[in-house]
Amino acid sequence: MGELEAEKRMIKFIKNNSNRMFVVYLLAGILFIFLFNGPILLNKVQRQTLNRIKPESFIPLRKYMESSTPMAVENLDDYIFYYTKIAQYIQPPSGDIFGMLGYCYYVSGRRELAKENFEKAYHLDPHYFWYPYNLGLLALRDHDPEKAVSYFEYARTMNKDQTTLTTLGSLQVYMPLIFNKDEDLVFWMARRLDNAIQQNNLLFLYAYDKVQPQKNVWKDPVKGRQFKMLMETDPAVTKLQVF
Amino acid sequence: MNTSPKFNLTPFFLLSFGIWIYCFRDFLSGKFSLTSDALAYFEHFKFFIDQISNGVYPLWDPTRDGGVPVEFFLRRIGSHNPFYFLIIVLQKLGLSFLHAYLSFLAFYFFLGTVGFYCVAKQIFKDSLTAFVAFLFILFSSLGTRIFDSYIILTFTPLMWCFYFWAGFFHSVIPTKVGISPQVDPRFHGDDKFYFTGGIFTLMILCNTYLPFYFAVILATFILSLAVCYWSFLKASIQKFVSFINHHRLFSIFWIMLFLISLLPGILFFSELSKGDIELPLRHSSLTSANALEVDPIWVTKWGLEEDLVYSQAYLNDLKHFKFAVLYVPVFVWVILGMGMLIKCGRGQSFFLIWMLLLFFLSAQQFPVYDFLNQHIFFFKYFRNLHFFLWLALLPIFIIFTVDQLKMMKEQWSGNRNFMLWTVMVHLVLLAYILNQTQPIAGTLISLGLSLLLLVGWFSGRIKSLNLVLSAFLLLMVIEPIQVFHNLGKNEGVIRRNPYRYEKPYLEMRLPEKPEWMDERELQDKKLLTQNKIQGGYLGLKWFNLLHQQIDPSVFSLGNYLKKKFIVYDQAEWMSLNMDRWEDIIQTLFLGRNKALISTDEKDRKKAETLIQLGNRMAQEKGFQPKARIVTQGDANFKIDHFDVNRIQFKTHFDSMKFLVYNDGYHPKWRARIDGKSVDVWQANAAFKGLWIPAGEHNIEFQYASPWEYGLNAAMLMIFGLSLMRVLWGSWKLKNA
Repeated sequence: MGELEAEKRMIKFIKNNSNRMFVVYLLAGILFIFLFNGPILLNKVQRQTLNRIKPESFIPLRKYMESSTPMAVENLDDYIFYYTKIAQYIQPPSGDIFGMLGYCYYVSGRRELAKENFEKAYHLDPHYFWYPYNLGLLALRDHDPEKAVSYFEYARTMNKDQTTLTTLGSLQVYMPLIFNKDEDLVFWMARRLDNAIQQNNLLFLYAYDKVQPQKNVWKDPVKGRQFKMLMETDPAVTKLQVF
Repeated sequence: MNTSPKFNLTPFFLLSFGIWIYCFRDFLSGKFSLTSDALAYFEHFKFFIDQISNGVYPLWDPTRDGGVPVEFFLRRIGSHNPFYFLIIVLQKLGLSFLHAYLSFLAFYFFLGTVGFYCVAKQIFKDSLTAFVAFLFILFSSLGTRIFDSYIILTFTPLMWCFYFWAGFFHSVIPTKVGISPQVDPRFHGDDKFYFTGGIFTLMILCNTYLPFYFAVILATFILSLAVCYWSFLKASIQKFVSFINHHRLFSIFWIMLFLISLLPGILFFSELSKGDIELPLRHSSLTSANALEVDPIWVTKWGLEEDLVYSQAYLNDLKHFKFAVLYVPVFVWVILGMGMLIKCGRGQSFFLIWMLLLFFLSAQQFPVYDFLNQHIFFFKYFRNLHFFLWLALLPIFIIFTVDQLKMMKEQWSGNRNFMLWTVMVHLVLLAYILNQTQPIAGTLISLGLSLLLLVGWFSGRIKSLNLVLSAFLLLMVIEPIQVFHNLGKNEGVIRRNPYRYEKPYLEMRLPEKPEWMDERELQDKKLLTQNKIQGGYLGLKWFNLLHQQIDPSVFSLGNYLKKKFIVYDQAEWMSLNMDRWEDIIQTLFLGRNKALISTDEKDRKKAETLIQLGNRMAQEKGFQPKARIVTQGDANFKIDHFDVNRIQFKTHFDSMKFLVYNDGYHPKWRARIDGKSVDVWQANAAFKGLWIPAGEHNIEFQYASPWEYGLNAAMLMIFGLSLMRVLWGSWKLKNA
């Protein structure tokens, strides 16, 4: 009898509540998801929307990356907004989106967010040179040489070709910003990478020296001179880059 | 929740409008530029109002793309709308056109929101709830579309249309479920007023840009009514038929007026099928005859779904707020959240079904739209499906939501559990906003105010209606003030240059010292374009062809058009295939003294007869190697009158000449010499020409037949008198 009563009460409860608005919304949502392939449709529409959200021009950002030409805050905000939306809409996300977000946050002075995004990028693209390199620079600026050492050391193991290929494959994020004019693109990228790798090696030694002072490095005539310059200048001057 | 009979909402309305004006002061003052379609519509209005102020009903624009008919633009703005004369009144009061126009748009939008309030009042039977709905629509982003679109021109008559017809059918006595509604047999005097108003607003709707939007909204409304209120729909139809039977003359008169008002649209539609006018951007790759048909690429590029997702992206970060983002004050989500527990009654079901129907019919990602596009002709003319979002889905959504607020107040006032639920909903919403979005201060303050107001109001602690209204107003404006400020920051572009038609544009200025191009300039240059150049938004078929074929880096059509009149001693026939581009270039740019007259095979003989006559006379008299460009101070040519539709001038040539008037050719152009009709020929590929005999003559070119001007003048009168009738009816009703 008790079970029967409970059943009756349950039926009564369902009857009383089956026409509540939340049930209607739930049914509508289920209909949308199953009948119309909701998630796929939504993703398609989101990608289409990205074209409209895209900033009118990437020239200010490109000019800043090329020659540190000052950029209006509103422009930077627009870029951050755009890349945030790409990160939300493009699934699965790729490292370049977070790399770009990290760069933009860094330029806007939001270092913590920059770190967070570079770390996400690093986990998604562990073979891309620039992410550990940038994280190392950020660690140095945070006066955390141990972390910097681990990032720079990891960056030293990166494959140049893999990095170049990843950049070339980033059609939506990096390629619109590439600012080479006359040189062969691959050659230009390789040259930038070579310069950065050299810098990375120096920065590795610099950071390592902070952890454990190294006297031997001074014996090397070239490295010693470069290292001396680096010790005398602020590594904060070293620019973050993403390609 | 009924308000006291002496309750006065006027100060609250005025205050709301005042706050709205404050939010958009930079746009309304003209400091920030109009953008996108709003700019195009400014041009249409400026051109139209300028001409009407001068006593001319414009059917042609000689200043645009070599000369084009403007019926398409007039249909877009709904040129017979008598409210537009307000702009002229404001100008006469001393405002510049821009300020008069912007003021008019703001007024028109306010009128639409008041219409929405009136509709809401009819549905809710309660002023307070209707006022809340009014605040939602006023402070939604619908008002921002004044500055980047033209949706308001359809929104306002749409609201009033629903108001009038709802008023007409309100005497169908509502009954409890299970009992058929009855028609009140008395037929109130109001019914005639509502009927008149309903017809008048229908007339405006059917004369403004694509009346098919209204057709779809109405069809889905009736369908939803049939599903949820079948008996009521039946009774309403009975009432309509009964009313017509009881007031036959009256009804037939107004229905006839409505049918007459459809004439301009029908004529325009058939005109477009003839192919003389092209809409390259809209129509581009389609092969169908009617230029109104939209290339599917435009429809699929951006639709209702994209608008929703786009809006959602910016609603998560209101600091980046932009135009075309669908926004409603955050209070709407509070009501929806709280309303999750209310029971879905017939009213709620009706609005929900209506919204779903509209959504599925207009969302181009769903198969229903494809089916409709193939089987219903006017679906091919929709370019902006997302307009349904703004015109219909938003207002219905607001009514749907505010209805829940009313139900909650009625059912749950004083209920302690409900207070707890209110607090819970606010906390959940706050948590979501803080975690998932980049909130602005206005949103958070609104949420706080909303909690205080709802708890106070539902518990009965806030009793004074003035206080409740003031609280609602405060709650609804705090967030939008900040949002619209962000809009100005993100989208406000300081206006530096005048808009088109703001500078003097209607001058028949003949060139002083025009010259033909030298043949040597063309050496080693390609004359025709390699890639087909896309035409403008609207243009004449032949002018577009010229524009697309001739290389603009070598030849300037703009410079050619400055040579308004060219006198030729000879002419020759050219087929409409336009395959003699070398000859066309020689004639247009190098001044070859031989005009090209194009006809189809039917008129060829007639054309060649005149050509032979003209050429023989030229041979006898002798002729110059180059054609003569009519210049300022030309003794043989004097312009007597010029307006957009007509030009009158005197000529005195020593022999028979062929005169080319470099204004677009269209079959509706008429010409008279000394009062007698003569043929207008398609000359030099895309322009007008006629043979003028020797001696002194009065020449007149006029676009379109007198009956077309008569029809438009009659339309203006019909619409104007209809509005006066509605206003008079309203005054009578109020005083009764």
